[in-house]
Amino acid sequence: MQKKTIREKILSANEEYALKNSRFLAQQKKLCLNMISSPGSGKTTILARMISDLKGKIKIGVIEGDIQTDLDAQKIRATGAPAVQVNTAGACHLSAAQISDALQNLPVGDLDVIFIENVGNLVCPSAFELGETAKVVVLSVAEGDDKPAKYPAIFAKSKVLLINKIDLLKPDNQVDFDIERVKADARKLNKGIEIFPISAKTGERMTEWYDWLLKAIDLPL
Amino acid sequence: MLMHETMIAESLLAAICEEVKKHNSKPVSAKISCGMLSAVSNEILCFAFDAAAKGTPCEGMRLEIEHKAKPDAPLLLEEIEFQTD
Repeated sequence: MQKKTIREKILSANEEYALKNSRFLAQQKKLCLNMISSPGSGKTTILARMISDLKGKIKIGVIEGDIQTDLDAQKIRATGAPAVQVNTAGACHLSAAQISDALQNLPVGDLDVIFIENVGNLVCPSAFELGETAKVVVLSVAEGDDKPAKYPAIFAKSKVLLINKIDLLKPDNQVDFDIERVKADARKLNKGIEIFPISAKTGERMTEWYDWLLKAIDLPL
Repeated sequence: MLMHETMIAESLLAAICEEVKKHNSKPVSAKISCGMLSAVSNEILCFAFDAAAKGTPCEGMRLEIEHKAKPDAPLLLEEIEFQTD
């Protein structure tokens, strides 16, 4: 037997595209946020609410990633914002090459921020850099408060944690969810993570997240 | 559903096949390393690699996966062991 030392990065093809995307975004001076969560946490609802609440203030473009259908892109376009749908045809995450193509089909120059809505999955998308400025992880209260402990990678890598559906916590505790536990577990993994409890359905506390977003657009992260 | 390990397996297979071409001998095993943030499951990666390697010179290769303590350690192909005749 003969051993040969290689020490070469696996997934270097994805990394090359990610680098290309991040260079393009830096050159265009655009903020790009990669939203990652389980299916059904409310990513599309957050985006739709945000687009209509911030109309006239900022222009948002969206890259929608789903295994199948363009239902999410249709929902975004109904708000008047440009959206590009990427179908991964079975794959559980978006890849940097797909984002590279999608960016060509968005009017990037006219936008203030580009959101990538990744395929609903708390594990796989965290392993694929897309060239985004930062990751935003969304957790809805109905999923349970043990998720940062159980799925640490995405909470460790994200700049922002949105805790969605806080309307379900009241008035009579329809779900058991200890918000303080989630905050503590997320900060244990990621000291600097920004945490915003919100309800995209009722609009409750969305302004705190918007303030962060507007600041991030003016000041690069 | 195609898990992310499928893509990692394909990328790994391509990297090993490149080396096999240079070396011109049969690969027996490969050592790879990663951190927690790569979200790699050994079982799924080995399964995906076995499936991807069918019909290539890498068929039947053994994978050794080292999980480093540093969470953001990159996913690396560390070493390949070749058969010597």
